[in-house]
Amino acid sequence: MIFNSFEFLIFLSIVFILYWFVLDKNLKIQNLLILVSSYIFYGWWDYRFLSLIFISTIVDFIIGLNIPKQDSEKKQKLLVWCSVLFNLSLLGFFKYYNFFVDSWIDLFNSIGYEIKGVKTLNIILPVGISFYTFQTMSYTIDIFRKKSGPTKDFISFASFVSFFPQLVAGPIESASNLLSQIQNKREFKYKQGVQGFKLILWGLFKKVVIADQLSPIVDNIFDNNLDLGGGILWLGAIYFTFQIYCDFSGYSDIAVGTAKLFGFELMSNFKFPYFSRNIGEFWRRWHISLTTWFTDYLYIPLKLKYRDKGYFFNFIILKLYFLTIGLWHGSNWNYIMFGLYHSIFFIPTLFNPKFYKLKTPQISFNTKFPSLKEIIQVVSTFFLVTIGFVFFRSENLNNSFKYLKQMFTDFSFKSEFEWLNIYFLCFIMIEYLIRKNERLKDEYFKYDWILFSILSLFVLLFLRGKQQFIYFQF
Amino acid sequence: MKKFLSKILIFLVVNIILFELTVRLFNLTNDIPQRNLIDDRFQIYKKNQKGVFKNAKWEVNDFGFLGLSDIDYEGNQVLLIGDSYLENMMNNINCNVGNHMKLIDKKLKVFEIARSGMTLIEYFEFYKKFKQTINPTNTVFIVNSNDIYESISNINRYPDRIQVNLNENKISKVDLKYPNLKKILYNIKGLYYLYYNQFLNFNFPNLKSSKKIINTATNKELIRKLINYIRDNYSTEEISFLCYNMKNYEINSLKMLSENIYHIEEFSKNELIEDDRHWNCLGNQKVAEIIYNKFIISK
Repeated sequence: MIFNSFEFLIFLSIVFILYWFVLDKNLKIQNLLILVSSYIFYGWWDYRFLSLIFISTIVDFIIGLNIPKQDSEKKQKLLVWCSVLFNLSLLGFFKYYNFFVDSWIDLFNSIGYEIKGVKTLNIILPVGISFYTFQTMSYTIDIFRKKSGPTKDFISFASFVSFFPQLVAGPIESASNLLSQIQNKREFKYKQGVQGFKLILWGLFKKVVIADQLSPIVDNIFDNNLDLGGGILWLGAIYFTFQIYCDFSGYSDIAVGTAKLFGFELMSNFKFPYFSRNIGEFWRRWHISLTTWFTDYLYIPLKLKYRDKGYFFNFIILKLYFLTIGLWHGSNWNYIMFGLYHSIFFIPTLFNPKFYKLKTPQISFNTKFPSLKEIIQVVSTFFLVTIGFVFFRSENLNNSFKYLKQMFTDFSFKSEFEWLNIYFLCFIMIEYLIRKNERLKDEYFKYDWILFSILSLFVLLFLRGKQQFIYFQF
Repeated sequence: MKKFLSKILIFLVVNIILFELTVRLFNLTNDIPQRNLIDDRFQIYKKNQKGVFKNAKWEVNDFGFLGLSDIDYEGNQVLLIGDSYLENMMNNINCNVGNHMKLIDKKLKVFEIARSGMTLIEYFEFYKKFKQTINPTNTVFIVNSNDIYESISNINRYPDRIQVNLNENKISKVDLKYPNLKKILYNIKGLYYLYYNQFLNFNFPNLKSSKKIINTATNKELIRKLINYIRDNYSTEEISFLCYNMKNYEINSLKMLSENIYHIEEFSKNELIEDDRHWNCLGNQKVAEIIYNKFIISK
């Protein structure tokens, strides 16, 4: 079931009514409703996926309960490793098995040695597996680190793992935020409800009106890049940069908005990343829940462990950090390249940790308009990000290098494709106006419902079938 | 909660009205003619209906179809039977195959029986019903693979189409598909707009495939049975078949019904409507020329 579908509209209405009007007296039953509806939501794709999430839930629930019971840290560590290895094996098998087999075969072929008898498997990648496995891993690691305690309530834990608004594409939540909310009584708050409704509309607008409209143009340009001029390829790369942002942040907005309707506050996943003034700020504003996860559970522990080892070790850790972020997206050399490309910009931070530090938390913080310096910073950051996304979007690595070569060597521009549409420019303007609050205020001005009426009218006019979200494939 | 729900409700009502007005004001939907079921079998359009489909105007004729309805008693009568390709709702009527044929030979009178989703069995049923009224000197069925398979209810059952059950050798019961729902959809343009753009399709999770998987050998056997059924129940000698998008064994099967058969191998891009598989004016002209040269002149 996807957010921009008729099924979800019916599903959401039914769950909302049951949640607030029928089962609101009993927290346990309300949580059971969340669990059942989350499983229905997830099983709508393929009921076979449910077994995986259920097994993952049981394993981490049991491990979580047993960690504090161990009398030594060694045993606790062993249990945490069991949880991590189990989740990574699940992920590795479904997401990376074919990639590694293919890569090994290619490697041996390239040195003239033919491998026989090893075959790739016909595996369906379960939707959202990268998101919920990371969420459950963080639960057991946090228990080990004594950041949070284990829960004895299986229903709450299973609801935390499968919470339908963020199940398939995040934000990846920590137990300390989401699980604690699940275990406490929720109350409906008018302001939270209005914000949630607005966020859903805004997310749908980004997805349906911007991302889905750009999608066929982007596909056309990237599929025929060898026959097109550099100007069009630049346009394709810029369009894709907006498409992926609107698609993914649109999903996140709907997820956060839907959670608000049920009285939950999820973490922010995007904070207007294209208004970033340097690449450091970009990564603090892009897919925040993923970068936070990797920072907390990979980067910082490694940095602490090897803090006395010097620049070389720090360099390796930095590369590893971005490589895993890239690889998380999928079993493809393009994603690895995407990660490594971004890691280059962080090399200066090895020598000066404050290299990307900024004086103000955001662009034009105390002014209406950005300064010339800020405009140059934003445009140059956007330029670097756009190049990175060429690796992300291209069919293979070879193709992405050809695409980039064409971008930088061919300056012809055939005006076959439409220039930015008016709604596209309107979108950038709105993003700029709301740049201080990604969650949207409950009221911007007295008649802001007129603005949201226009947004919803556009959504209705542009709705087409069931367009998948890009990040579902990860 | 009360305040929230009442505000959301007002917001939704205002927006639904706004959306309906926008769709009507900018003519964003196509008009679809409503149907009647006669003799418990034949779906024809209700008379006195007019409308616009993708900027092309349509009008239901006295016989309940959208195409030409010439009747001639001097021996120049051509009867064309087909599905949405012949019906040609997406182009104006002067672009129909029949009109192109009349441009080639002014003496010709053409009657077109066509409706979207018609099956091969339906062609024969309509032919049987209208043969005496029209009294054609030339009859051409415009057929593709789907028309054949959709005639067989054993493959997939379509309750709103004329199909034959080959186990029982019997025509299956025909019902109009959701007539009341369609009435609502066609009258509330906003709803129809969402339905047309495939938003209102409610898909249940796929627990098992509802469509039967049939292999080529089974297909051939079913087509053989269908041809036998047609031979036993309809007169076929005077019919010519103009085929397109068909495999060799399907064409060979039709040859058992009539010797007058011609297969159009393919249509070029400029003969098809963009983002649609149907023929445009050029495509219709090509079909008209082939029918005239292969089936009319040769007689």
